[in-house]
Amino acid sequence: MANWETVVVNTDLLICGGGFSACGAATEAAYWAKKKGLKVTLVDKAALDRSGAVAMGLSAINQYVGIKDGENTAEDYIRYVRSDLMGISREDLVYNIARHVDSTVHLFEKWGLKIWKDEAGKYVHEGRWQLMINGESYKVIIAEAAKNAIAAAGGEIIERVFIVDPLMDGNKCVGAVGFSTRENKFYVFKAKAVIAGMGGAVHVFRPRSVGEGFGRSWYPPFNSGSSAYFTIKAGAEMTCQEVRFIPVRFKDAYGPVGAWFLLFKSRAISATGGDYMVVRKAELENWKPYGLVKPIPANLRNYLGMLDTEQGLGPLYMETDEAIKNIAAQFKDDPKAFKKKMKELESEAWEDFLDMTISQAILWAAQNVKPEEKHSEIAACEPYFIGSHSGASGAWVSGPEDLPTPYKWGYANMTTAEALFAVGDGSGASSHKFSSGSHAEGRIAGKAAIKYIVEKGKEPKVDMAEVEKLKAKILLPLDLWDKHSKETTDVEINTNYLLPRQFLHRLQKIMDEYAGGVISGFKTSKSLCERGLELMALLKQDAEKMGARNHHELMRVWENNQRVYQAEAHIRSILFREETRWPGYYFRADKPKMDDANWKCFVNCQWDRKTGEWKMMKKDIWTMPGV
Amino acid sequence: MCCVKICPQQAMDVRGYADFIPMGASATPLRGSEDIMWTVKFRDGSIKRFKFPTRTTPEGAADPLGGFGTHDDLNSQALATEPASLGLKEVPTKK
Repeated sequence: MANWETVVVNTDLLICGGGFSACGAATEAAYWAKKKGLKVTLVDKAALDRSGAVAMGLSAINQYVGIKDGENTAEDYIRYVRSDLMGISREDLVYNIARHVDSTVHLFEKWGLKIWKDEAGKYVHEGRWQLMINGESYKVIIAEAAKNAIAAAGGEIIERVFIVDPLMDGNKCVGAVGFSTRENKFYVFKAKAVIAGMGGAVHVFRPRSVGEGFGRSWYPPFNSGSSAYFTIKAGAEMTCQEVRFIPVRFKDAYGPVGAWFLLFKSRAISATGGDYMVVRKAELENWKPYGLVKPIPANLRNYLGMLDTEQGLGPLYMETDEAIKNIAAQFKDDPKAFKKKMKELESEAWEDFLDMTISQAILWAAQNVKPEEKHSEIAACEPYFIGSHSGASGAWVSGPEDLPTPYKWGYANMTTAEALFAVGDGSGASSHKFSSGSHAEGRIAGKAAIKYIVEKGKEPKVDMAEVEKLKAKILLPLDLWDKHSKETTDVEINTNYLLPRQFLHRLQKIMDEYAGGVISGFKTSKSLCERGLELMALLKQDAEKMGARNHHELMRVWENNQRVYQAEAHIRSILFREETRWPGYYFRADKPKMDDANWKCFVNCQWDRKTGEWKMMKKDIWTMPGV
Repeated sequence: MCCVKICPQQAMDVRGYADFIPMGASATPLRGSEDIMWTVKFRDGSIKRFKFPTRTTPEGAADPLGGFGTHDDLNSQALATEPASLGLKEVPTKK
């Protein structure tokens, strides 16, 4: 075995991840930990300032309810999420986040985030729930508060350590193992409670760009399913693993469309000029009651555009020039004001991308696109697993104590594995939390985890013999490389190991062709899923034959293993749910209609830690009384 | 691009992804402590410059509690700075 030092870190609360939900957890937990004399340790695989989905920045906060000013209520937010997810959401969790999210946003503003304000001093809304921000340093600011909170509480932040497996004592999580991405160090974290906030998953499906742009996914390429893998391997029950998300974005560079649709009120059209939301309105009848709700659910908006594409009516375009002209038209009689407004709109349009998707700005410049003069192509991206946005995949977690939900077992956001909490993309069926809601959810879990430790926390019992076995397994790819890499003249061609990129291509090919990726027009069926699972079983066996020539590739190997578990949970859930409910996310071609009588329920799954078998189950939908 | 933005020497240059971005364009940031300036060069040679604020507080100054009042009740639904940071008298609930 590779000769790596074992570093043991003892703590009370271990927070795995460094994005918005993990920072929220750290900020809140540190406050309570300091009062109770407990230690909080946060582990991030990158550097906290610029890690996670918001690393580059954002130009909007997508969840702000506005309760204090009477703009909306938390109940309104439940109605919105319920419809957008076609009736499938954990309303207790959605409510819990919605009632806390405004305070998160108010904290962000105090910390230094510049939120746009109108002349009356009110936040400028992009849409009903969305606020415009100058968000280039959004993550830096949120990380700064988390760092300051942990420092004040005497906690610890460990960067560039990649978490792999949970440590379990029966059904209780007692820590985690991982490794440094820079040094020859294997880490063992022993904790009384653990929060999994390690993001969603990208590159489970083949991206549209497979050359240098392989990493140009809409969601960050470094999100590899760490949360899903961690909670699945802990034996925790998972939910909504079929509910992937496919965003429609500016084509190829994946610039977001929110500002264009909501703030600038832009239309999207086909190459023949038809607005698919108007032309195909009748299709929405097939998906009622959700198809008739405003705003029309994201997946149905996708679906109408996909129907145009399928019928050869592409490319689809965002009518940016028309939208800008419409807004500026109010000043048409005043040339000076008109010029000023055009300049302001131009600046806003560019900031939208320069704050968060710089490659889209470069693409515009490279194609000589000036949005006020010329429209831009949009397209459906590839599927992602992002329970914090419009997808819903994640762990099945306990609801808040004060609500009459049937789904609670003591501590908010605790999974069915004791002492293991999940947040952000890691917790399921609580979609549309985005950056601010994920942070709020992290805060909720941070407090709940400290409460758990105060009430039930015991010294973690960690079996070091098991840890040694895990260490040997996790470092095996380095050994395979050392043993076999000199056997051939080209190190990339070997019969005894696969390199991580090669393995990833194989996984993506299975998912793309059998589980409804881009190449299959997002369609799959029972037969395709079953064949996909046969191939996946062989892939899983070969996962033990991945070789790694350095730290970076070792991380790639384990990211791939994480993706495989996410992929398998996904196929099994699509197979189990015998209907099509989110046609713009995936289409079960053999079950092309929504079947409320049999499938208006959650699909949950659980991986058995002893046998490695999956159990699939239905769970009832609970609706908040009076909402 | 995060590295490009943070580089104090302006020493890094980037181009777009080779498999779908035509050559000849660039987006160059110049980052200060409270704003960022962008120079966008188009393939046709035209140039646009933009300046956007990045934060309203000095770097490192974020107070985790935001100056809001706090409390000691670990059992309540109120998070550390709530209900003050909500701007409400109490955390909403449903009976």
